Amino acid sequence: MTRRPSPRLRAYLVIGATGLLAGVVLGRPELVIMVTPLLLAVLVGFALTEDPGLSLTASLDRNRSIEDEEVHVVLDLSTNGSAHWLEVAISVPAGLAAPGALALLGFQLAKGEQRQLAIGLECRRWGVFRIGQLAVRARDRLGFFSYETVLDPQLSLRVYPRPEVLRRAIRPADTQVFSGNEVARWHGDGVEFADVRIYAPGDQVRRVNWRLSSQRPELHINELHPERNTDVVIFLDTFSELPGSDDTTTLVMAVRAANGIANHYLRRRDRVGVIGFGGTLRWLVPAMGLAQSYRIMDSLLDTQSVLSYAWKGIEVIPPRTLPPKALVVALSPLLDHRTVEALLDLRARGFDVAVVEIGPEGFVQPSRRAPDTVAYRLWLLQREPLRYRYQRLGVPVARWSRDQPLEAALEEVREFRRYARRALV
Amino acid sequence: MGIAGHSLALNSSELAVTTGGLALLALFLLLTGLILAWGAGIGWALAALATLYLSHLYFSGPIIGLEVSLVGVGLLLVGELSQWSLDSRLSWRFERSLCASRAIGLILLVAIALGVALLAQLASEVRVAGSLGTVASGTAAVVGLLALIATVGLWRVGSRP
Repeated sequence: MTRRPSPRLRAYLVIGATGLLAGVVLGRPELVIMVTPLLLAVLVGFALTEDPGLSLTASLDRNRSIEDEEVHVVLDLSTNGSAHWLEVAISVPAGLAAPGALALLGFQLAKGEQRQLAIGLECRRWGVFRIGQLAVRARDRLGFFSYETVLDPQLSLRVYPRPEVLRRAIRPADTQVFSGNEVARWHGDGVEFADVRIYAPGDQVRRVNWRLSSQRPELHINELHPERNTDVVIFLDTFSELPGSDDTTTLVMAVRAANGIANHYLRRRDRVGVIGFGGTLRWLVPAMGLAQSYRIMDSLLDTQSVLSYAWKGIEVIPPRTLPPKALVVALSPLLDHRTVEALLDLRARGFDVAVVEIGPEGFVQPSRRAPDTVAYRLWLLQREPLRYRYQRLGVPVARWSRDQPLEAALEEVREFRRYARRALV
Repeated sequence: MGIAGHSLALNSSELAVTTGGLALLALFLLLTGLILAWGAGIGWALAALATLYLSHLYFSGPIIGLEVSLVGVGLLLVGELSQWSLDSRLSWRFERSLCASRAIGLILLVAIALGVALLAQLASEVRVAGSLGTVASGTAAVVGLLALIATVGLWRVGSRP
């Protein structure tokens, strides 16, 4: 530990020595009497100082958490000497918050005493956080000397996004061949009634519709919709990220939505994959099960917006990440042309695309100057033709603002697809 | 400011200006140190206060009495209480036992300092014939005292890593 004298100790010593010498040289005992208390304080300061011999270990009570939960940094302290005034400060990374500006604690440790402290950290944002430096300072009883040290506990905390709870999600246009929970549009073996047709050789007798057959000269059988699984690919736009007044950004909202949508489909035994389309391309091949859920959460934690001017299209996406007939759910503020064109390209190649537009209007505050207000309104107007381009191709674009639940935006998508199917868009 | 006022009562405008100016300087340095958490400001404020009293002594002549001891203890109290104020402010949350411990230590220190100052005052009232030898003895005693302080300091502080 580094020892530092208090600035006033030097002042006492200088004033005391000066007063002593001046008193002797000038023959003025008042000077000597005046500085005697200061010199006594210096003597006491030297006599009281003692290296506390502090030993400190830091740990987290858990290294995984979810947004808005609290974790604790547990400090185990023990001293060989006395620490009359011990202060501990922890540097908290952005995204976490500790009560008090610096989380500085002051307490006392007697000689040989062991103590455990817990500093609470609020997880305000998802991500991987490294708990930074831990500064410790011990002072003697009157604060003449302080002993300081800085530790790097190398604690890592993973905060997962708070999942958006969904009761219903988007129904895909097509299903896959494996068994699942989604009612397929085509006919086969299943539970849901689809149609009736005339019996053909080879049809199962248990599917004969006896009521209809008794009224017709031919046998009729029931046709059913099978239950099949679906492939869902979550398309995250990481080209742009608009900051909000609090810790929420467009990317934070997108990741929360992605987590909720992924969990919903994985619970239904569907295959879910993730594409992070931005300055750095990241992807996760669609798979199902609990292991895929953890893989998706870990990949979402590493999601961040990276500035890039390079043109990117969907040709950079590995083909295995976009299986045929997959439902692509895009979460984007639709600010970057590369994302806009990539989604249109996906639709043109026959993928079933749905866009949840994370409304950038909620993150932009126009100033009160007239030119800025006009520019803001023009910008809003420019976004309407962009949405119309998608809708003309049969791609629903649902606007999701900060004060809305995700369920409301997905309901817009379902509503559009219901009418679009009827209009054969 | 009290000393400046006393100087005015003595009809010494020169003294009043000097002590008044020094008092304002000391106040400014102390407030700056406390507001900006500048520890060295306390030392400079103490130096200004000590100079203030020295100037008063220079103009008013020798004063041997309880007043001098109280001035010395007062300087110590200003330094200690100012530093305590700074130390407490930097901690966001601290235990009550810290305040009690420091208060007890400070009270004991002030009491002992006042006692030693009074002893020094009593010792100064002893009449000794002035001579070169007396001055040399006094100087040697001062140097010896400073050497003692340095030795204790090196022993407690310098020998430990």
